[in-house]
Amino acid sequence: MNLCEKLSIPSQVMVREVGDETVILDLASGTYYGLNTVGARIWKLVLERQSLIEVCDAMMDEYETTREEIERDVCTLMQALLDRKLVSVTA
Amino acid sequence: MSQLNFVPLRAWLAACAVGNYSKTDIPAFTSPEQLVAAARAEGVIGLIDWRLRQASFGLETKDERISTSTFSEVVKAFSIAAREEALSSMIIENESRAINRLMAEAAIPSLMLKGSALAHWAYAQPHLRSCSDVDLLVPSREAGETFSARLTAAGYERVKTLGDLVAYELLCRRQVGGGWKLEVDIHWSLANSPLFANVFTFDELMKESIELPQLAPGARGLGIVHACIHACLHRALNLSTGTDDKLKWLYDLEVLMALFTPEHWKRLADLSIDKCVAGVVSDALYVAAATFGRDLPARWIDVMRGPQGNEPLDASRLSDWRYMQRKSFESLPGLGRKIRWLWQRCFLSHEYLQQLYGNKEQSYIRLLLWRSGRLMLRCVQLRSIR
Repeated sequence: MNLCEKLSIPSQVMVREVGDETVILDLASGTYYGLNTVGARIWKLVLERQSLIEVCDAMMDEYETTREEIERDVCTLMQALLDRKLVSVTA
Repeated sequence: MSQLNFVPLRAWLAACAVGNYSKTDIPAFTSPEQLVAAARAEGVIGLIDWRLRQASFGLETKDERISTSTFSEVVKAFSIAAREEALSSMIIENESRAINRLMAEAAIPSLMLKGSALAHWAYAQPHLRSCSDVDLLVPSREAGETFSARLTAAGYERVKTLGDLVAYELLCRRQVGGGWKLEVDIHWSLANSPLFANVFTFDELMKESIELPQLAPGARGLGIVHACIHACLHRALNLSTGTDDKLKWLYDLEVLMALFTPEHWKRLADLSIDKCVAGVVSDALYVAAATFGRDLPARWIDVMRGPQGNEPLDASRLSDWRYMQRKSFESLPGLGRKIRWLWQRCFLSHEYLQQLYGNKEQSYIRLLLWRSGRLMLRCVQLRSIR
């Protein structure tokens, strides 16, 4: 996963915030996923930010942890979402 | 040791829905599953979950019979159930968008009604208003037929409804993935009864309608005052068929009243008096206010209660099935329509009865007898209750 990549949410994916969780529904498959607080925050930042680098920058301001750990978490989550076609890389 | 707390479930749910509860109010000896089941029956799972999450930081109690872990279990049970509500809400929203696109293609003006509209502008989040179908209002039956054909071409199945004087709507249904079945109700009148069918014209409603950009570009819903009157009429018809007030319907009135300005109250009073439904409206508002602990503006309620005696419907008899049927009969103009209404009420089609009772094999006569037996049993039960 390249941190310079920009991601977007495909049209068949819908999202709803339920308290501090985020529920993601893939309308194509009828499958849904839940993101915990940290995952939900990363998702929200992906929607707002240009690239994953900017997402990591914002996470650094909010969480007391190392840059390395944040980048690893962001990449792991985004790769999992990409694998499930819940996000797509913007050309 | 403090007194045992036997707060009725519904009262707890109502208080919780408006965030007006204390920790020790959780009904004693009630499991989280029972609370969730009660909230589901009242259609307020998303709402209760939202309120519990807002207050969950303080969900500790010194009451020895209600442990902190019980509160956590309640919060957890609601959060799981609320996820399902969120999913259902997303599926309905997605389908509503597709329906609005089809409407635009067909150049049929329409208004979203009830929860399908309110969820997107009156509530903090769409899934807080539980919905199971999409309700649309179109200008005429012909427009409804045209749109229903479009839906059928798009994969929907037309569902048989009652006669046109008993049900002012067409129903279409579709399996929308994940085992969800979605029903689209295409109404050509605001209410499903001759009692209220002509209270408003489509043009009157369209004139005061509002945009629903959160739902879809071009989607529109009833204006706030019309939405409030509609909720009151809907309640009256529910009561007349033996369907009790659900908290979700009363809460619609609660959120609308919370958004009302003094101008809205005045408009509501003027319009409901002008349309001869002030008794029905003030009765519904009174029940909603009593349920959620809201103070009604006495001035406007008094104004609405004033002309009640001159209105065709006695708001204190909305639950009286025979009275409401008689009033429906009387409200129809001309003998021809009255006879047709009676026929449609008494002799439902074979296809409709098969759908109603889920029995595809039984003969028409058997299904009619079965229905008559059920109706007689209901009459006996109603008499014994009274």
